[in-house]
Amino acid sequence: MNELRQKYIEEVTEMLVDMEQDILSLDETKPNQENLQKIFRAMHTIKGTSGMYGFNEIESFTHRLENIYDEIIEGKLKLNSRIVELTLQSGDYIRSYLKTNGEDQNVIRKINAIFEELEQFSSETQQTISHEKNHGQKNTRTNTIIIDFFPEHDLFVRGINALSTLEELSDLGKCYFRFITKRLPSLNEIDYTLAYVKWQIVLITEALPDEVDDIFLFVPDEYKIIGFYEQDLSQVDEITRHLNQHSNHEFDMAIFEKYAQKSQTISFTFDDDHTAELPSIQQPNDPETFNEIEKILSENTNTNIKVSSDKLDDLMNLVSQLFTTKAELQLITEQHPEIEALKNIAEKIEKLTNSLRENALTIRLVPINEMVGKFKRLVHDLTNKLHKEIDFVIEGGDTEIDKSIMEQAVGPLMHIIRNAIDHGIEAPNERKAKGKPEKGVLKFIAFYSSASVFIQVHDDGKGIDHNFIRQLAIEKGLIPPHTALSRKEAYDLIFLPGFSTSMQVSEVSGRGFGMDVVKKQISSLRGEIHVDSEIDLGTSITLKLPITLSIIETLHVRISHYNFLIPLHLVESSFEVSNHFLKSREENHISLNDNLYPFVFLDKHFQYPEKPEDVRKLVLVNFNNEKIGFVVDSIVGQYQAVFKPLGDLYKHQTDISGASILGDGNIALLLDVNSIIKAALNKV
Amino acid sequence: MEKTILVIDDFRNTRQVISSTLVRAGYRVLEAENGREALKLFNGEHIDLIISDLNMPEMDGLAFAAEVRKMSFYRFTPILMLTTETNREKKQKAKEIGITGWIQKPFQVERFMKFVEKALK
Repeated sequence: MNELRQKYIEEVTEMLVDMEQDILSLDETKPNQENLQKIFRAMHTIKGTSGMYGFNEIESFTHRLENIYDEIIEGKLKLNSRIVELTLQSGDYIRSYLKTNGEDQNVIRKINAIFEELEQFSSETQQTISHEKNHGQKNTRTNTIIIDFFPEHDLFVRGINALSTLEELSDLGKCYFRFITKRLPSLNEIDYTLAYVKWQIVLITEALPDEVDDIFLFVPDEYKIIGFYEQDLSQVDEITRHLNQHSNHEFDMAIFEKYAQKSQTISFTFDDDHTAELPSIQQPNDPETFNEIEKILSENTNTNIKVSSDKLDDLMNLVSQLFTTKAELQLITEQHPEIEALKNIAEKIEKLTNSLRENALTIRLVPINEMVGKFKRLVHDLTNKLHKEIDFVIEGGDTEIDKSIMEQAVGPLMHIIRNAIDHGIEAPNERKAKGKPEKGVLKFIAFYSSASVFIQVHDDGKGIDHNFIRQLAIEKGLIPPHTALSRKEAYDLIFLPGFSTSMQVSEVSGRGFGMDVVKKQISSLRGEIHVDSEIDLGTSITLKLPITLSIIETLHVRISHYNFLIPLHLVESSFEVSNHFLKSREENHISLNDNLYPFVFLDKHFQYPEKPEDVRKLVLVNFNNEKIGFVVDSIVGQYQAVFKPLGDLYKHQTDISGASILGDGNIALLLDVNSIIKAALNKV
Repeated sequence: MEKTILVIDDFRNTRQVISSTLVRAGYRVLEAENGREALKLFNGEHIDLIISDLNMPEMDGLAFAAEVRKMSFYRFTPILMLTTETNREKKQKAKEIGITGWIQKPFQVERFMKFVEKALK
């Protein structure tokens, strides 16, 4: 029973998070029916299950909310900001109620207060109806436009940018693209100046075909609108994708036609008791194709499963072991070139293992959108509290990142956003006086670049003066007076412990942790953080985070006969040096580019026998601004390591933080740069 | 960085109207009287968009466009043609040469800017 109850609480919590998202994306003046339906259904479900577990307060409370949303959907009640606010608060109190097991009287009192206020809205119903009638309802239709875009080969030489055309289309609404690569010749025949690809696009939009025509202004003869339906057929593309199995296939327009006709009969019905029924699809006359569509649709509704992260770790472990076994198999295969069949199998296994590994690594990735809900809520609450007006813009929400990294980045990002709203963006009248639009813009942008995800929080507020920061740092004694600093170095001062730019401590961002903690947390994720700012134009803070923690970009080096890996982001540079020369240096210091660095012989450190050759490599590493040289025998190159902990048996050693299996099956150890530096500096 | 647009028309009046419209919109404008004059301006200059009249003495718009497309540096630079021409055959030929689009004369400023902005994307 307890377990079931736990599941119920998890479920409700999840539903509340989704509901918050839906509410916050509602435009009060023109609420989106689909979102309203979702909120309604969430309330309905919570009501149902809460009753089952004896949480009666929640049951009656959500019942009330459910009715209100039902009235809004039916147009009897107009959505307003108070209702939005109350709904959000309801979510919070339901959560606290569940957390305290319904025993906290304060929470129950709050819930009752909200309940009573909600009651009033319902009694206003009559009044709202007449009001509504006078205004009439604006009805924006969602259309589905299907476009064939078949540029001629000379598209680029005519100075036309196909990409911007496609981008403009996606600005109009939701776009599903399909590449048709039939015209693509073999690789050696490709002329990069020519266009080969064709596109088919399903556009779900409120726009009309005229607006599409405008986008294809320069290519009037190379596109065609092949379908136009005054309905949202977004799911049909999913369907055709499933039916066709792979996407390099043109649409089967018959499916769209059929679906468009049939979906006219899809209806949402609510009976007198206000219980929702799922959309029912009336049986069509030719059930065969349609049943298939229906089947896929119902499959599509639930494509995510929750898996505990322990299971994922187990999977990763097994994959790593498989990788070693694969290497063994390869070795045996090389020893027996006469067995042809063995070679074939070994090759197949290699391919499969590689793609299995790639796949397993991506399982942990989740879109950044999953955390954005929390930020939307924060922005909403703070703007109200501080009486500011802010447009919160999110770009690149589908960028994926390791779930554990995302979870640990939420805290720092919350802090950054809080700062931006509290100290960055000015109050409306102050902005007006500066000639800026009264509504500030807070941008949250995420994108990939090589193996990292960048997250940028940008506000168009008052900005921070780097000279002021420098001055303040000198006053606080953090840097010596007359220090010459570049702009970037000045902004980096913000991350020093004990530094705070806020002139006065405010209620919102004056407590909790400072930017130094933010930086520490980001560094512990092997990430970086940078600030840039321009007076009165705004401030942007950029986080650079690794996509996943289980893959580390490393520098593969050899010491004696052993393989070691150094995290690449800590490596500054490397030099070739003579062992003889190094030994002649006093107190193990070497002068490089006018700086004196300590260095450590890693072979000696690990008590390996010294190699007879004189040539050594010096790898300069930087950890928290402590720079030190590691003397190794040779550098093999860059290596993307899937890293595994060493296990309990080795937990007392400090120099190695993990191990990885190299492509040839050998094991390489990941150096714990921090502790080696510490040990070495103490010795010196 | 501000974008550079090359405007070619043999009528000084038209040229000035276009130039001032573009300058007001924040672009840098180079002007030439005909294709031959325009070619002299190229010489490695970075040009983001060319707007040219079709019928001009010395060297007309199409001959000029063909020359531009021969220079690898300007191979993908968009070219908009100002014209009163509606002849399909001639338009097809222009497309083969590598013309990006047509602006029908006379034009309204709003519509004209739409073409310019689109071509610069």
